[in-house]
Amino acid sequence: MTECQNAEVRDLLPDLLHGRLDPSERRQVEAHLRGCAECRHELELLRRVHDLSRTPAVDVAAIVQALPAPRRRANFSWHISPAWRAAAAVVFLAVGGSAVLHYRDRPARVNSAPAVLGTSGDSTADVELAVGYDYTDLSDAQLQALLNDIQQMDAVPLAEPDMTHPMVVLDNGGM
Amino acid sequence: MTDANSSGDERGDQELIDAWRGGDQRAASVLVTRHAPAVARFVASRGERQDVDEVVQDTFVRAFGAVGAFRGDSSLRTWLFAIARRLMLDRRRAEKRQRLQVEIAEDDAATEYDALDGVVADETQARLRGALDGLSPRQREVFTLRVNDGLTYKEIADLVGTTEGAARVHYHNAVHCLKELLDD
Repeated sequence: MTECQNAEVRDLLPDLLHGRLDPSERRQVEAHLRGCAECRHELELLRRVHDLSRTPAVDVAAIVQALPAPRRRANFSWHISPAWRAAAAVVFLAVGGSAVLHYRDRPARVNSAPAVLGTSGDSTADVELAVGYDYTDLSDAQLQALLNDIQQMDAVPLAEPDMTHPMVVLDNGGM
Repeated sequence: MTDANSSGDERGDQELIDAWRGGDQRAASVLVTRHAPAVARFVASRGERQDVDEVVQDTFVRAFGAVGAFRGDSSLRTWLFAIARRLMLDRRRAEKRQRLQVEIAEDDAATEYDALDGVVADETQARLRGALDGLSPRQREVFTLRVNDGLTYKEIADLVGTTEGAARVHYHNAVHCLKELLDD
């Protein structure tokens, strides 16, 4: 069977069936239909298929009954009375002020047991190099000796040792 | 859509959704009245026989439970169709699993348009039904959505996961096949 080559109109036939065309489109399609037997035939086919489908009865009340309750949008606001705000400010200032005074008056902490990393045989440099050690009491000579010790140290490796490759000691026969 | 305002309420779908979320139960009633027949028709046209009511109800329960996810990118009706389609696919998968366990008589196998049994009254209608069954599943789906449900190609493409152009081609191929099958 032949088919109309006006694809634009043929595309609109289902919309004509459903009453979805605006007035000007409707007039255009109806004018085409008057002169086109193929499109009239096609529209009749679509109408028959549409009529073939029935709309099953639905129980709207039962569906509405089964619907979940709407989740109401949160309507919470941070409304706090002025009295509570003032009380909170007083508490904040009191706690904060106490903390500042406490830490300001605290004596400087001296590490009583510094961890010894190394010592020098030199008497002037008999200074413990320690982490956290308070060396503010050292003399200029002691500080200089400390710096000299540091300069003589081997380079400190920057990376963690790679434990995935265990060290292998090769016995080279005393060489 | 022809029955978009069959409920007599002129408010748009999004407005009604907002009203329902604000506690207006009547808004839900309007939305169900407006869209349930189309969803039922859609479900029936896809081969559901006895459980149309159940699928339609589940569709609305799911939709209203997740209505916050509806952004209005598609029409509410297309969104409802998408939910119904997903539900039917899930049900068919479950049925298939069940059939592997329990042997079912051959004549129980459902075909699409079996839901139309009650209205296939004469030979012409029977031929039409046979012709529709002769389409490929994708052609039949696109054609049904376009002719029975009045969806646009864009809505069909969104629903079945294809392009607008491909939906148009499927529709025209379906029309061509139907004409040939009916002319034989």
